[in-house]
Amino acid sequence: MAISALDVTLEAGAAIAGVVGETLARGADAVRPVARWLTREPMAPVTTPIAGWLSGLSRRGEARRAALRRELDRLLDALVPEIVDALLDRVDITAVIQDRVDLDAVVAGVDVEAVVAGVDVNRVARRIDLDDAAARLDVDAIIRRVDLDAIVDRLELARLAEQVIDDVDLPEIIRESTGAVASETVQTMRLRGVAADDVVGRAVDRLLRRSGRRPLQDRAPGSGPRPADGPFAGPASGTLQRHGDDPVPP
Amino acid sequence: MSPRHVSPIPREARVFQGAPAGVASRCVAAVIDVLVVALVVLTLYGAYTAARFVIDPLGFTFPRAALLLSLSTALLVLVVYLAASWTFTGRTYGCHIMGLRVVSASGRRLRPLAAGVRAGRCVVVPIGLFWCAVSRRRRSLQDVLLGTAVVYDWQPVTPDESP
Repeated sequence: MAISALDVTLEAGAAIAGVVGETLARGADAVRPVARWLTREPMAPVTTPIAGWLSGLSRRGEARRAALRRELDRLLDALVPEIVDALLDRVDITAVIQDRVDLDAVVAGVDVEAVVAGVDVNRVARRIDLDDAAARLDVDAIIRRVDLDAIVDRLELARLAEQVIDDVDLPEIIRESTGAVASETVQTMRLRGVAADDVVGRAVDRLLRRSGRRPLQDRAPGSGPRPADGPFAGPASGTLQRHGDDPVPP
Repeated sequence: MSPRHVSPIPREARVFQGAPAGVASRCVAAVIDVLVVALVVLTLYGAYTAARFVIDPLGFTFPRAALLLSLSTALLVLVVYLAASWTFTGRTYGCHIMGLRVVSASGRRLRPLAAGVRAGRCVVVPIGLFWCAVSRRRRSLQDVLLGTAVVYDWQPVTPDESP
């Protein structure tokens, strides 16, 4: 049987330390009653210097113990990182986690809602380069996918055309382009006639001290013509149409 | 919603389209009508004269009519002209120039009888026209009696509804 000096030394040292420790503990137990007896009042004049000396020893021992602890802490601060690094260099933590850690259980315990609630989406969006994203878009491909026929079908082209014609005042353009002087003269005469009618009306109202005549577009049918279909009737009567308040098309 | 259509009426005229016409426009229209009738009477006179010349060129002399006859003829022509115009188109030539139209109480063209009566009253009592300057609703004496009205109407075509 091979005898290992190291093993023998270790075991012997442990045995001796065990014996010493046991002896000290038994000694402390034995000394304790004696110390209590020595420190009682009649023995105080004799035992007080001894107690003082022992107290000093205790304080110094405590200080030494604290110093040893600090030294040990410093030693551990220096050694532990080195030891851990050495251990980690020898151990594949990833494999260990994969083999021994239940990641599903860990993730299940994460409050995703709280995480998402803490995310500032606006800050994230601000970091997105929309120009770059738009530059990478194939707009032609997108447009090809749009059903233009369906869009056109939803448009009221006739109404749009009428609105465009009315907005550009095509009848006036035609009148001007035909260059009919007579029609311009007639139009001018008519407008001046209307203006003169208004002037005369206001003058008569002032002369007769009547309240202001309502503007032309607000004149309501009188007692003669029936209001529903008098000379001011709209499209309902089908005869004359007031064009001053044409509805605006949608 | 009624279908939108392109209006041939100038934008500045759309505000008063359908509103009652005042005394100034109606007077100008009346003057134009009188001139038209005068032209017609002259034409009739010319035609009569030409016919007499054709029939008897050697014994031709310009016809001379009594004032009463001439005036009566002119007035008759005026009545017929007014009545026919109001019946068929709702407007005389003068009204056409000034953008006016004579309508009934319902906004339609006058019936032949109403047009004839109105024409007669306009010729007999022309001063009744000036009542429209005083009336709040710009109605002449003839309008008040017959329930008619004269309105601004710049539309180039007449209403489709028959009287």
